[in-house]
Amino acid sequence: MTNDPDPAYCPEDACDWALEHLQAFLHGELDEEQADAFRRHIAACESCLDEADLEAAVSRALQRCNRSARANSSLRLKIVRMHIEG
Amino acid sequence: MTLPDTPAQAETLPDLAEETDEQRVERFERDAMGYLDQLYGAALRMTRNPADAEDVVQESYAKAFSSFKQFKPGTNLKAWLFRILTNTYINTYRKAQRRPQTSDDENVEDWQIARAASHQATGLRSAEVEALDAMPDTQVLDALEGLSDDFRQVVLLADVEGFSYKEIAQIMGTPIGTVMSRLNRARKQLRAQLVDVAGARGIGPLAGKVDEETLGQEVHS
Repeated sequence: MTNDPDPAYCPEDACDWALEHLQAFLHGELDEEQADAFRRHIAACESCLDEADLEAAVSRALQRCNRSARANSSLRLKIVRMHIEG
Repeated sequence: MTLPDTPAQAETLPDLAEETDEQRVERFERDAMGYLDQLYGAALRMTRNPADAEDVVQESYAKAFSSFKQFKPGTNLKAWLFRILTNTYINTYRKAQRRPQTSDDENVEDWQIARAASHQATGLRSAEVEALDAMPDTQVLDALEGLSDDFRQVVLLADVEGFSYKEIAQIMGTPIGTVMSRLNRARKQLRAQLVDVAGARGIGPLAGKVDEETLGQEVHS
């Protein structure tokens, strides 16, 4: 038996903080200090790590399924003509 | 003692007071037209119909050009154009539709949403990730479709267009706090829809527990 804390244990409020800041973390909106705190938390908390993995998978799906369509050349021409001719 | 501006410095940003009409057209074509494909893609996602998307984009460019005199070079042109696009879409198309503008969820507190997130580490998580990675485009797009306009918009801007929260705040005309809470709620709703869809199709932890016909009604386990 060791005195090391169970890696799966995390105080509820730390998880509340992590879950609340998860989207901001994934979108690169946390400053370095907060981002590091987030990374430390998910390194220690398996369920928050799972949650982060899931949300990252949702982000991937969103990007994959929304590849941008190109405007066709007639639209481009229409717009260019529009502001040249006033 | 300060040195007078060198000619090189004076060329870095156009002097709007000196700009001729021709130069403005050139500046517009050089700077704004480059975003056409992105704006068209975004318009297509909003209107879900190429003809309407073309109209929205054309109208947006017309507005952008007529205000271009006031646009300050060196500031965020992309966000400025997206703001015009968003407003054009809202004013022209959204009013005609009967979709809800904001979700009923908007009154739910952030902490309640955080609590509701399942917080047990389960081995089923990796099955969900696999299901998401394998999910066909139509299912993801259907789930997006199920969000209210504001929720869908914030997700598209954040995750597809890659705007920062600050830029999204500019584009949607809301405080950053609203962007953050909308995005949190929208992503929560989206996740729930995606997991439900996967479950109805026999993938992931809700496999076999979700009847596709009752999707959208309350699911009792």
